[in-house]
This record gives sequence, C-alpha cells and structure tokens, in this order.
Amino acid sequence: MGGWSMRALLDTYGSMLVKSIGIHMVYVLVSVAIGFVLGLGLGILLSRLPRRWSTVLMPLLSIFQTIPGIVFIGLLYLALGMVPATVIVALAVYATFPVLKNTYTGLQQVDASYKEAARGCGMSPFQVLWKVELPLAMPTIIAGLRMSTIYTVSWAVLASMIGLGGLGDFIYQGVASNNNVLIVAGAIPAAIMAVVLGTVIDRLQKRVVPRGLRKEAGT
Amino acid sequence: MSWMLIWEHLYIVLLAVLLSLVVGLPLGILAYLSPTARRPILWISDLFQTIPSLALLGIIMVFLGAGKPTVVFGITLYSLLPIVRNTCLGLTEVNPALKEAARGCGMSRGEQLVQVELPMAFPVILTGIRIAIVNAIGTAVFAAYVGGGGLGEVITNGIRNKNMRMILLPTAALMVIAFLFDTLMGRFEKYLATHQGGRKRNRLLPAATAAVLCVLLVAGTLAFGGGSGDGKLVLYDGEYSETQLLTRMVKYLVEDQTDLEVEIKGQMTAVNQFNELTASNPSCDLMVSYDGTVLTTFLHQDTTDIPEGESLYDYVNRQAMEQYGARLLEKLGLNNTYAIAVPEDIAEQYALVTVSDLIPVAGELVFGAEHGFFTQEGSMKFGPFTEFYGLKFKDAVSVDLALKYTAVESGSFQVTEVYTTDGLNRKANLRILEDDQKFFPEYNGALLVRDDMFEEFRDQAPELEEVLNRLGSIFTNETMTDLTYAVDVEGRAVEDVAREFLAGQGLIGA
Repeated sequence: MGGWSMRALLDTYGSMLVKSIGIHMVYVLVSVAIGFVLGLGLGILLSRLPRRWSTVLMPLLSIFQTIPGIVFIGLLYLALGMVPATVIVALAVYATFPVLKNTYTGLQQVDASYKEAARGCGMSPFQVLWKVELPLAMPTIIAGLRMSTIYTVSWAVLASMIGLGGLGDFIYQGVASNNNVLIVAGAIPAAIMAVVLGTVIDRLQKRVVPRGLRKEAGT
Repeated sequence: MSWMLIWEHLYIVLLAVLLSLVVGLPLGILAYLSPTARRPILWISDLFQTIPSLALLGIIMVFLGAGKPTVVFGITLYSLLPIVRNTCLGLTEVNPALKEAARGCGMSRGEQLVQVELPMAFPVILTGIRIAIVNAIGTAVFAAYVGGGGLGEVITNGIRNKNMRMILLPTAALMVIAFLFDTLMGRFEKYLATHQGGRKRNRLLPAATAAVLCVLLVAGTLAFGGGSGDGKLVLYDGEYSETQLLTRMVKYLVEDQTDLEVEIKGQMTAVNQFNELTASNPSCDLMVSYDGTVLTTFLHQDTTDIPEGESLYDYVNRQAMEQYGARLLEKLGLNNTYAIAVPEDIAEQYALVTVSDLIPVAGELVFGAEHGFFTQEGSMKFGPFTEFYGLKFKDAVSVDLALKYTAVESGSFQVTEVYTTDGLNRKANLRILEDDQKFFPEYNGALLVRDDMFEEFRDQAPELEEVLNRLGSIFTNETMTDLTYAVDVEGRAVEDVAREFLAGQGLIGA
C-alpha cells in the first residue's frame, strides 16, 4: 500500500493504464462478438434438432464451462503461443455458452400457438424462425449476451497471464507485490467497463422486445 | 494427498456458499418485500460479479492476509448474486392466487412468507444455489494465488512444469465435482417441483442433505481451519520446489531429532509468510528465506544501505532483529540470486557470456519475466536493472510465473530472469549470463526465525537451534539444482527427494 497517492500512481502508470484499458476493451469486444455469433448459430441449430440432442449436449456444455480459465488459456497457449488469438479464442469459447444456452431456452419457450399461427399464414420454416421465433426469443438471447459480456470483462484479466497485457497486468502485479492500489487500478476500470457494457446491453434489450410485448415485459 | 486437496477445495466452496446463503437469503427476501431496497441490493450484488476474481481476492488478501479466510470471503461475495436474485425472483413469481388464499386464511405477513411463499419459491432459490456452487468450484482455483490451497495449487504447478497429468487430473476432478453437484441438485429441484404440496412429501431427503453438509463442514473446519498448531512448530509451504524441499527438510530433521511436531501449512508467498511471521500474533515460527530477499523485499532497503565493511548477511540479521525480532540462522550454502538467462542457441548466436554482452544486441531481443519482476517498487526489478546496465530491449512482456519457462522455450521471448538454482534452467537449456557489473546482490538461503520461538519450544526441543543449524552449509548451488531438477523435471515427489537427501547427508535415519 506504501502510501501511494492517486497522483503518484497516475504519474508512474498513467499511460500504461490507458493502453491497458484499450487492449482489454478490444479483447472483450472481439471475443464477445465472436461468441455471440457462435452461440446464436449453435443455439438455433440445437433448437432445430430432435430434443434428445439437447438433453445430452446441454449438461455437457455447462460442465465444459467449469474448466478453469487458467487451464484453458494455459493449454491453448501451449498450442498457439503468445499471440492475441490465444486469448480471443479462449474468451470467445467462454462467451459462447451463455448465449447458446439462452438462445436455445428462448426459442423453446416461444408459445407453440404463435408458431402454428405463423405456419398457418403460409410462412416457410425459415420465415417462422426469422420473423416470429427469434424476435420473441430476443430478450432472452440478449440477457445471455449480457451475461457473456460481464463474464468476459472479468475473464480477460487472464490475458496478462500469458504476456498479452490488458488490465490484468495491474491486478497480477498488485497481487504479486501485495499492493492494493495497483489491484484497484486494474479492478475499477474493469468493473466500470462491465457496468457500462451491461447498461448498453440493457438498453438494447428494451429495444429488441417486440412492440406488442413491451408492456407485458415491463413488469 | 490429492483426495485431501479435492476435499479442501470442496470445503472452501461449501463454506463460502453457505455463508453467502446466510447473508443472501435475507437480502433476497428484503429485496422482494421492499421495492425501494430492491434496486440497490441487486445492483450491489451485481457489482461484485463485475470485479475480476483475481482482483477481488487480491484486495481482500491485503486486509485478511493470505489464506483460506480470504478465499472464502471472496467466493461468498461472488455467490451472492445468484442467491439474492433467485430468492427475489422466486418469491415474486409465486402464484398471486396462492398469496391471496394465504391472506384469506388470516395468515400474518410473516406466516405468509414462511409457510407459503418461501416453500413455493424454494425450487427457484435452489437453482440460484446450484449456480453459485458450480461457479464457486471454478473460482476457487484462484485460491492458489492467495495461499488458499485447493486444486488450483496443483494446476498452477502443473502449468509451470508443463506436466499434463498435473493440469488435466485436477481439472477433470473439478468437472466431475461440478457435474455431480449440478446433476444431484437438478434432480432435487425436479423432485421438489413434482412433489410440491403433495401429501407424501419426503422429509428424509432434505434432512439427509443438510446432515451431510454439516458433517462435511465441521470435519473441514477441524482439518483446515486455523487451529494454529499449539505446541507445534508451524511453517507455511513455499511456492516453488526449492522452498518446498527446504520446508520439508526442516520438518523431517526436527521431527527426527527432537520431540517437537512440525506442521506445514498451505502455500503462501514470501511476503505473506514474512507478514505472518512478524505479526503481533504470529501464525508461523520460521520460514525459508534469503538474505537478499529480507533486505529488499521485507526491509525495503537496498544494497547501498549496507555500511562499508559489513556483509549483506550480517547487516540483514541485525536489522531484522532490531525491527522485527526475527533473525537468520546459518547460511544453507546456496546462493539463489536472480540471474539473467538466455537459451543456449541464442547465447551461441550472439556470443553472450556476461550481461554486458547483451548491451549491443538488446534491441533485437525481447525480455520476458513474471509479473512480480515488473513492479515499480523494490530495486531488484526490471526498471532499475535495465537502467543499471543501459539495456534497451526490443520489447518487454510479463507472464504468469507458471508459464515463464514454457514461454522462453517456445521463443516468445529470448531473455529472461531466473533463480540461479532452478532445475528448470537445465531442462530449458538456458545459459546463465554472468552478472559482471554486480547488479544483483547475493541471495544466501537461510532459515528466518522468530527469535522468541526457541524459548517457546525449550521444553520439547532444548537444542532446536543447533538442530536447525545442521542444515547450515550442506548445500551448494549445484546440489540444489540437482534436487529441484529431480522434482520439477523428473517429476519425483518433493517429500521423497527431501528425505533422501537428508538421509544421504546422514542427518536423519534412512
């Protein structure tokens, strides 16, 4: 703790902090974007397959999610080396799960009568998915995206485990030298990042709720 | 041994989730009852989740010290969100008709809550607990960074030594544990959902679960909870093979030669061990250390602070005694100083023998080391070192200590900082460059002890100091490198290597 003032901290670490925030943000945005696309795609795919697929796959996936980040990034590092791809791949895989899960659940929960009605209107299976199911499931899907994003901000700390920078540098150095100021210097921007991204996604969620359902969802 | 670790891991998880249940359940109920309190409560528990786990544990560690309390407290905070949120959600979703009916029966608000709403909301609350447990199993891996024990220790050691078995086995164990909890609790939820309100409600299952939990927790507390070994000599385990070997040698030697029992507690960083050793209520009696570490890391001084004519070892001894009532025993004979190392082929290519040889070629090379070497405090660090030699590297990267050797072997960087006696230097085929301008001080290995402990243990071990000093000067850098090589590279058990060495020296019976 050594009586560090905020000023001394900024003098010593200021430019490094700005750079780290930028790097951290890039890791988060890129991997969440990849994870979202993957999760959405796989979730839709899974919802089209017979139910027994999901009864086997879903528990497997949630178990896969419990692999500690240290292990996953460590092993990927051995395979890919010290390149940003290692972090991006690892984070994207973790970001995929919540989106996948929520996409699947959201699609399952769409009332059968709506689908029936849509089919009755002469819609093709693709149109039913695109115009009815996905819009109705969207709030749930976005909730998954929110969870992914917040987790990823936290997981991205592991990038500095393999020398790839980000806010984790501060946290790791702080833990190594018992310096709370350093840890906080890494943790606060990360927390703010998570809160801000969470708020943005909340807004997004309100907008994607189909107009006819908004009042209902507002409770 | 590994069963013990799994068990330790589980204990941390269960204790933390239980604590967060004690706090989270009332908070969730409050959030449900009072709409004004709901927002701040959910917001704050949400906020805890946004703090990266390593950071949260690190911050708590500064206040609670390294060890289990820090991990348990951290995971408790993490587990709050799913529990609070699901409690509130579950209560909100109870069928309004049922609430109405309860009111109609003349139940008070409290009775409605306890007898109707909470039981109805229980499956949803249980889902929250399930999420909390499964998350906590993963988060508890970070315990390794703050001296909390558990499976994380094995994993980080495995990564350091590129030992797939040591990485994958504990990971598999974690996954199995998570799977079991997930499935069992899932079953339980389904059971509750289908038997909700039924007459044949089985009370045995919940009661059995609660009983098993209680037994686990009590047994765990007995096994791992403080119990700061009264009448035992206590020391914390080190974080790398050399300190782990020496820690065990102290144990075997003392237990063989005196009536004193020695307890080795979980791994802890040197700084934290020193804090524990010199605390007003110390939780350990001695630690394996180095005079250079005491000078720079513990006393926050520099080699320039040593008066002319006094040796580093003597100066440190005097200062530590004056300031902390701690002193070093005889030098062990090894000098595990920092050293700058490069892979043999790079050394050949650039004809590197001394650190000064790096000066003209540094611009072509990347330097990499663990995070601790890059902090701005202390003098044995990257900044002062490069300034002293006038080195300007192409780039500098910081990696987890566990991955340093893997990184240098795979060519992620070409120059690194190592401990002289690390067996991995030999395995990674690193050439140690001579510190020709003498930047790094000596790091003579020695046991650092609380001076008053000899008095404390006088009855059981009157000759304790003399026994401990039998370790004096029995090592050289070569022998220590052989020993750490045996552990880190050949994968032999620390216990066996330590015992064999002592027996070979004739210090304990074989």
